[in-house]
Amino acid sequence: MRILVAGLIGLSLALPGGPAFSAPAGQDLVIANEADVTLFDPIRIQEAPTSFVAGFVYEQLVQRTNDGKVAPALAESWKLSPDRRTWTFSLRKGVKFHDGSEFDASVVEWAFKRALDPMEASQFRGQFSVIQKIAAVDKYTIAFTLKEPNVAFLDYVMLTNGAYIPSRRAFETLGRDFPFKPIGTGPFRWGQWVQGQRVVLERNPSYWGPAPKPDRIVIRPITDPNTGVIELETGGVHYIMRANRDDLTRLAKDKRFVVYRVPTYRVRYVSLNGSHPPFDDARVRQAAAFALDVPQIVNSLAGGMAVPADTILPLESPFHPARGSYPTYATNPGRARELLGQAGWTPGGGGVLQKSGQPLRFVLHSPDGRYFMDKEMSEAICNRLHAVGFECRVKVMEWAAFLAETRAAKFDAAFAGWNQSSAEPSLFLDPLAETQGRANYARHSDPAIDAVLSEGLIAFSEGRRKLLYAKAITLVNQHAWYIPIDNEFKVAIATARLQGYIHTAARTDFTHAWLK
Amino acid sequence: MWRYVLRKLVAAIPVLLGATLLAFLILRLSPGDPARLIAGEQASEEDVQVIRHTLGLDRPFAVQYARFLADLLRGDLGRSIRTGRPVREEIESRFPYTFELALTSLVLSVGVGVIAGVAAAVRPNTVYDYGATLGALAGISTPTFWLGLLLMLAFSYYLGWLPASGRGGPLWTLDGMRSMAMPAVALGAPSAAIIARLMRSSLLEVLRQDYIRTARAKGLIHRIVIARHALRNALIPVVTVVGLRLGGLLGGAVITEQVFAWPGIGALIVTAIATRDYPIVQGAMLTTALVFATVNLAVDLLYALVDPRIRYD
Repeated sequence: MRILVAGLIGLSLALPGGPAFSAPAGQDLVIANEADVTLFDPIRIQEAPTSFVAGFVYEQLVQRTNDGKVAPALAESWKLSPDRRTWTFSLRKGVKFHDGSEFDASVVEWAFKRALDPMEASQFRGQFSVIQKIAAVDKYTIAFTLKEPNVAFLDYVMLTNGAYIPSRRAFETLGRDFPFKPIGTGPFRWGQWVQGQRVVLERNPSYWGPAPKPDRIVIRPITDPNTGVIELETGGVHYIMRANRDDLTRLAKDKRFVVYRVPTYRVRYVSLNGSHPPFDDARVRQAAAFALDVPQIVNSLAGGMAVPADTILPLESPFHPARGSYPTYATNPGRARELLGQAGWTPGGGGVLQKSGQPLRFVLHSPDGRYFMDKEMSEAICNRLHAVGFECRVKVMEWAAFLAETRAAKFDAAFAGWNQSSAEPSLFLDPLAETQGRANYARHSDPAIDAVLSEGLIAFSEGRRKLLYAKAITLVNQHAWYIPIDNEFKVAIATARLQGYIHTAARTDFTHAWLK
Repeated sequence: MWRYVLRKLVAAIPVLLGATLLAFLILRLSPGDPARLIAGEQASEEDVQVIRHTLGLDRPFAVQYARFLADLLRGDLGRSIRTGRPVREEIESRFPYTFELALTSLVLSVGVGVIAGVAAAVRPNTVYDYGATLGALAGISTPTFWLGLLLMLAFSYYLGWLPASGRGGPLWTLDGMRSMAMPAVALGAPSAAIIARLMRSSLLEVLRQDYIRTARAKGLIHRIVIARHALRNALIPVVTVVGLRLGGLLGGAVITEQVFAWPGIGALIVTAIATRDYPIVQGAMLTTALVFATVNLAVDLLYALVDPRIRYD
């Protein structure tokens, strides 16, 4: 025992100490992050918790306004060439990085070329490959020439994590430490990072824009949502991003807190694999869609956290067609049975339909905890489908395994989601519905949809684009490749003392926030 | 004795190698591709292939394992696939916090467990005995995360005595002790319960021995009989369990750390498994196995201290 105690004291003495864990006095704003941050090399940022913190330190050439429009940031203005292939940005003058180095076109050129360099193996290389040439025209002008015109270029490239502009001097001097000491031009500069404990950000006194309000922002990784709620209620943090439904309902009624909730750009759906039975028959896919009471499932399991959806484009998108202008599958079990009958499925044993001795059986792949109530939703979906004669089993998988199997098209049906930082329709429809789409794991293919989506990227008239995407949605819904489930909300809960914070689908902004 | 230690150390090598091989195979045989997870859902197959090649993941398993062992012999655990940082640095920055938590829990559970076990054994079938047995049952039956949340509700939410989560500083500071209290109790409760039950049954067994009767017949008072004659012998099985528990506590700390946002190795391992960061998982498993093997050796040596009849020749 004496040995144990002595060892413990010795160990404790050897470990680095630090300031207190709970909300420090003064105007420090303490935010609970979902997990610890990892690395801040912009071309390698992939997890949401790191991306969240990076947004305080780094900036892009453009930014999103509260209502989702694109506005100037490090670029003051931009113009598109008559052939619609070259985007030329006029950069803001006099902007300094946190290390004192100057922001100019050469840094922007370097940053984007780095993302495109195959040796860097950046996750953004594929996405940025629409760029053919990057050239600094003069010290404060940079031009991006694309391989083909692309109306969504700003959403597709300029508003991604990979488009954050870090200090080139930091890259050259910090060496291997570069990803762990982010130096950008943003409203906050890097203060301290104690792994697993906190990131401290300090106000950038020479910020080019309106002066940021908080002197310091402390970001603590708290992975358990229950712990986050208790920390919020006991004053340990001022802001959390997650809570279970019961806590959310309770806190919404508590005057000490404000619950922020906006529909966001994430759509969840059941992907039906049309490459093999039973979903290779459109009537079976449509029957499955008719069999589900999606609003009932969403409202009972995720009420207040999501709204039911009937397309794979978020409702918030200005390109979402008017309801009633595209085919949907309102709950109709009778119609589902009728369609299954037409497809040759006849009653079999145990309430399960059969055809040529084969039961109407499939497995629904589901992640566990990747999305809000994902496993529970999958179980409810299976349960509903059983009522019209399907035999459905949920296969719950951890995320890496789920991704590996669905990407290899080794699934009958999968409960999945697609999330983007903007409501640009091509960011949803191209990956999910184009033959070569990155998230079209079930390998759906319709040349008519491909043609519409290709035109959508080069049609610069908003009216024309609206028509094109309405047509794409109509076709996708007719095929019933996906059963749309819901659009998740972006949720946050903060102390009522927090003022000046902006929470919209497009922005999460603490720059001018303060504690009353 | 030194020959014994050497023999034990040599015997530990296959155990450690087995641990690395298991960690190596289990992750690689389970579905999931680290290169794809790094590249993200949106990356093309070509880009994923480039990442796979850069990380050496396109080589045969045997080549990858041989390379891992060769690096290990040089004291190099490799680099994290996700962050590019040396695995040794990642583990060194986190493991001491886990060890600190596990060791504090162990000290607490040994203290509480031994006292409760002795109290129950010396007064069997009394309120002390029933109380200790009931407490032990509760300690074993309550899941760590649940106990953690209950403690948080009681001591942070209602009473406001302790911070809900995080590490407040070194253990010798007041903030450090306050932040350690709840995680250590939550993590140590099942161990305390096991030790209490074992201590009780072991001491009851010893108290029935002839030499105890002889000691009493000599006229020794009850306290001396227990402290000088019974306790030492009764402690031998307890010492064995204490050594094993430390391994359990290091593993169990993963959950406690998540609940209390403790900056230990737990979050690192969970994320590393989820992202198939093979080198981190291998390094963490090797470290844990190494600590476990060392503790077991220490326990073997402790027997001699507890019971002088045990000799290592």
